[in-house]
Amino acid sequence: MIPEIGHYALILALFAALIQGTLPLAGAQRADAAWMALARPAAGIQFIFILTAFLALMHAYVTSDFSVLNVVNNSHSAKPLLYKISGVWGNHEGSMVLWMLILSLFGCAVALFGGNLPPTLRARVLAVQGLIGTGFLLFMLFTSNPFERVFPAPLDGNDLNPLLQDPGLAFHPPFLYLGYVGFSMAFSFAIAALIEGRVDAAWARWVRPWTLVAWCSLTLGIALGSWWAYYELGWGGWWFWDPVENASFMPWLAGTALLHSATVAEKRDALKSWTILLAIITFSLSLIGTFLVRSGVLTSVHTFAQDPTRGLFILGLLIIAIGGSLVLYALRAPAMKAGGLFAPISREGSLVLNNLLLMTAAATVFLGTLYPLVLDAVGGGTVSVGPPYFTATFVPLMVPMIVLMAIAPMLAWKRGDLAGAFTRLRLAAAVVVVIALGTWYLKSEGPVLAVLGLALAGWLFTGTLIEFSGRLKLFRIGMRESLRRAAHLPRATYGMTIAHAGIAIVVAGITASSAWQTEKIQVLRPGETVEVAGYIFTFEGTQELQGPNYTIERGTFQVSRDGAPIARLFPERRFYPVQGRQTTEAAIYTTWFADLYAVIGDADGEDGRVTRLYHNPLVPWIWVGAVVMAMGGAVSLSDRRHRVGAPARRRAAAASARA
Amino acid sequence: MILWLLLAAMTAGALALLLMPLLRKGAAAESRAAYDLTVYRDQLAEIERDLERGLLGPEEAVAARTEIERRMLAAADGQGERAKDAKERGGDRAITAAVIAAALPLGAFVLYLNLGSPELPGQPFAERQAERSQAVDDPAVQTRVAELAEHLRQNPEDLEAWLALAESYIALERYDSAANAYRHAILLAQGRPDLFSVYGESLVLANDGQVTGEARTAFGQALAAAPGEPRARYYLALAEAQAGNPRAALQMWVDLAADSPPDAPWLPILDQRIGATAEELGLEAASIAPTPRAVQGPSPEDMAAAEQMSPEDQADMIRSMVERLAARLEAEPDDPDGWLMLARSYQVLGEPEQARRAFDRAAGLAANGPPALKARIQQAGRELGFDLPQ
Repeated sequence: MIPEIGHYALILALFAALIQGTLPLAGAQRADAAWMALARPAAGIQFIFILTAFLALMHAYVTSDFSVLNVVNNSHSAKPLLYKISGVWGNHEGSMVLWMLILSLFGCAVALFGGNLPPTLRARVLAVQGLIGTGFLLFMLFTSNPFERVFPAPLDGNDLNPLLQDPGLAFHPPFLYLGYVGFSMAFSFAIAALIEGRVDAAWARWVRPWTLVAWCSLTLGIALGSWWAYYELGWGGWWFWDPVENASFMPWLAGTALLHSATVAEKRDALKSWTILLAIITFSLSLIGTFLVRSGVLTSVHTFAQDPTRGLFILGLLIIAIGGSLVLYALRAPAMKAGGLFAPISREGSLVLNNLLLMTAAATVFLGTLYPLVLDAVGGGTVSVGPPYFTATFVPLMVPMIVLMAIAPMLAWKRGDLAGAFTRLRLAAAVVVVIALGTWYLKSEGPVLAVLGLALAGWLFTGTLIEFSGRLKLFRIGMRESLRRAAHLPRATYGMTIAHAGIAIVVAGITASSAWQTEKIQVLRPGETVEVAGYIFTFEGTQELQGPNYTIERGTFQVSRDGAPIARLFPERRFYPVQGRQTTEAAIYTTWFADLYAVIGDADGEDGRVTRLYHNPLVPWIWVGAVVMAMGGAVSLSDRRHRVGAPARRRAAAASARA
Repeated sequence: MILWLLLAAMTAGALALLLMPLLRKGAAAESRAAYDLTVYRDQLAEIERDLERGLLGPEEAVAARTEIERRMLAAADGQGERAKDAKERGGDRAITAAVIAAALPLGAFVLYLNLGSPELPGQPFAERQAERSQAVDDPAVQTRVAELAEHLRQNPEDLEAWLALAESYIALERYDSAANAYRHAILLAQGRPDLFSVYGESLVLANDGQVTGEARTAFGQALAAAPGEPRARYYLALAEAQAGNPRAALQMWVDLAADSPPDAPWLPILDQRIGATAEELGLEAASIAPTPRAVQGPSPEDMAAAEQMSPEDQADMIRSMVERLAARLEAEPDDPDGWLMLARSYQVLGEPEQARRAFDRAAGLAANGPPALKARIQQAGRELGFDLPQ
C-alpha cells in the first residue's frame, strides 16, 4: 500500500506543479491577485507530496519491498542499511525523485521566506519553478516511474552496483543536486525578471542568497565526488576529466561567474543583462549535466535506442527549457536599461575579466565533453578527448585568473588604482619569489609549471591576506582599533576572503599532487619491501574476511620512515557475489602534507600480489581547500543584507491592523 | 479500501491548502516600488554604517549615496503601477476555486488508475518468510544442491553428480553456477561433446539471454560433434538475430523447424520465434521456405562448426575453460578440489609446471584441513606423479 501512496503523491504533486506553473503566471500578467496567491500554497503542496513519495520509496528500499521494480533492480535484502537508503538515489528513477524533492524544496523555501519579494516577481519565480517541476514530473511518471510494480514479486533483488556502495558516493549526490537544482532558482528569477521586463539592483540582491546556497552545495558535491574517485577507484588520481565529472564542473564555473557578476549588478546596477544570461546558462549547464551526460543519453547510443521515449523526452525538455529561455532573453534583453558606468581598471572591470575567463574555461570544458559524445552519437566515430586537452586549455586560462584574484579585491568600484594595488602586493610578490626559489631548490628537476603553480598559490593566499589586513588597517591603527573594524566588517567580505584563501589551498594541492606524485607498481611477496618517496612499505601478506554482502581480501602493509614505524595500511579488494563484481578499497594514511596510498591487485598465481603504492604530496589540501571555499560561501550567506524584510509600510499596516 | 480512503484524504488535504487563500480575501499588496525602495534604503543604511566605522571614505560615501538615491528615484517613478499591481477580481475567485476543486481530484484519479497498481499490496522482505521457504529455492532443491556439493567434495570426479548439480542450479536460476558445473563436467568427460550444447545454454541464461562469444563457441563445438543438434542450431540463430541479422536468423529457424519431428517439444517456442521475427521484418511467416536439401550449402551453423573442427581449436576451447576455472579459483581460492581439478586439466593440456603449481595450492589448503582431505590430495598427487610437500 505504501508504494501506491507514494505513486499517488507524485501524481498530486504533478497537479500542484501544473497549477503553480500556469495560474500565477497568468495572474501576474493580468494583475489578478487571487491567481498569483495560488503560487505559494501550490509550492508547499508540491513539496509535501514529493517528500511523501520520496519517503515511500525509501520505505520500500529499507524494508526491501521487492514488489517495486526499482527496488528489485537496485537493492538486495543483504545490503547494509546505509546503502539501502543511498540506493534510493543510486539509480535513474530514484535520482529523479531526489532531483524533484530538492527542486520543490527550493520552491517551498521561496514560498515561505520570500515575503520580501514583490508579489508579481514572487508569483512569476514560483511559476517558472512550477513549470520546471511539471516537465520533470511528467518525465518521471511516464518514462521513469520509480513506483512501477512487479507481480509476482521476486524473492530478492539484483543489488546496487558495488562501486556505489560506499559512504562517499552515498552522500555526494544530495549535495551535487542541491547545487544543480539550486541554480534553478537563479534561472527562475532570471526568467521572471525577463517576463517582468525589469532587472535592477534590488533583483540582484534577491537572487543572491539562492545562488550562494547552490554554489556552496555544488562545491561540496564536487569535492566529495572527487574524493570518492580518489579512494575508491584506486588509481591514486582524484580528477579524470570524464564526462560525469565535467558535467558537475561546468555549472560550477558558470555559477562562480554568476555569483561575481551578480555582485556588480547589485552594487553598481551594471552587467544586468549579462547576469541574466549567466543565470540561464548556469542552469542550462546543470540540466545538460544531469540529463544529457549522466543519464547516458549521449554516452551510450544503445540505451537511447532501447528506450527512445526517455531520450526524446529529455531532449524535448532541454530544448523547451534552454531554447525557450534563450529566445525570451533575445526578445527582452535589448530593452534593458544599462546601469552604472565604470572604467576598465576598476572592481567591475576586473570582475568582467573574471567572468570572461571563467566562461571561456566553461566553454572549453563543454567542448571537450560534448564534442566526442555528439560525434559518436551521430555516427562520426570515436574520438577521445583526454586530460592533455584539458590541461592544455584549462591551465592557461586559470593562471591569469589567479593572478587577477589577488589584485581585483583591492581595486575600488568605478575607477581602480592599479599601481596602488601593486604597491600593496609587494609582500605577495616577495612570497612568490621565495616559494619559487624554495621549490626550485627542493625539486630542482621541476617541472616549471609546478613551480609556477605553487608560486601562484602563494601569491593568491598572501594577496588575499594583505587585502583583508588592509580593510582592518592592521599595524596602522593599533590592535584594538583593528579588532573593532574586524567585528564590523560585513560577513560577505569575510566570505570572499575565506573562499579566495580556499582556492589558494586547492591550487597548491592540485599542483603538488599532479607534479610530484610517486607511483610504484610491482609484485610483492609477504615480507618484501618497497621504498616510495622515502617511506618503506613492507608487505605482510593478505587474509580473507567476510563482509555483510561481500568477501574481502585484505592486504597489510607496514610503513616506516628512517626505521620508525609510521602506520599500518589495510588495502582491500571486495567481491560482491550477487552482481559478480569486484571493487578496490585503497588504504590511505595522511600526514596532511601528503597521502600514503596503497592498493592491492591480483595474485600472481603464487603468494605474490600486484601492489600499487603512491605518495601523493599535498593532496588532502584539495579537499580542505574546497571545504574552506564552501565555508566562505556559507559565511557570505549569513550577511545581514540577505535578511532585509518586506516593505516597512506593510509591516506598519499589519501592526495597525492588529491594534 | 483503506488505500482509497487515504488517497481521498490526501486529495482533500491538497485542495484545502490550495483553496484556502483563494476563498480568503487577501490583504492589498504593496507596489513593486515599495519592495525596491526597502532594498535601497537598506543599501543606504549600509553606507552609513560603513562610513561610521571608517570602512568607507567620506567622498566614496557621497558618490555611493548619490547613486543609490538615483535608483530610488527611478524606482519611485514606477509607483504609478501600484493600481495595476493590486487589482482584485472578486468574481473570478469562486470560479477558479470551483474549477480546481473539480479538475484536480478527477485528473489525479484518472491518471492514477492508468499508472498505478492499487490492487498490489506492499511486500516487505520481512513479511515473506513463509513464501521464501516455499519457493523453488527451497528446501528440496536447495538440500539436493548441498548434498551434491558435499558428495562432489568427496568424489570430485563423479561426472553424473556434476551434471545433476548443474541441472539443480538451472532449476534455482543460478545460471552462473550451472555454467561452472557444466564446465567441470566437460573437463572431466573429455569425450562428450553433447555437453557443449547445454553448457552453452547455461551461459546464455547467465547472460540474460545474450549469446556471448563463448556460448557461440560452445554451440559450434556441439554441432561439430553432432551436426544438426537442434539446441545449438536454435541458439546460433538467436546469435544471428542479436548480431543484427534477423533475416538470416529467421531462415535458420525455419530450416530447424523443417528438420524437426512434428512432435518435437521445442516446436512451440520455435514457431513463436519465427512468427515474431517475421512480423518484425514485415514478412509472412508461412512464405519463408526452408532451404531445399539438395541445394543446401554449408549453413551458417555448419560453418561455425567447421571453424571449430580442428583439434587445435578444440584444445583452445578447453584452454579457455581452464583459464576461467583458474580465474574463479583466484577469486575464491578456498577450494582444494577446484585446485586439484585445475591441476588435472593442466596435466591433460601438457603443462606440468602449471599443474604442479595448482596442485601445490591444493596441498597448501590441505595442510590445515581434515585428514580425509589430506589423504585425497595424496592420492591425487600419486596419480599426477607429484609428492605432497612436507
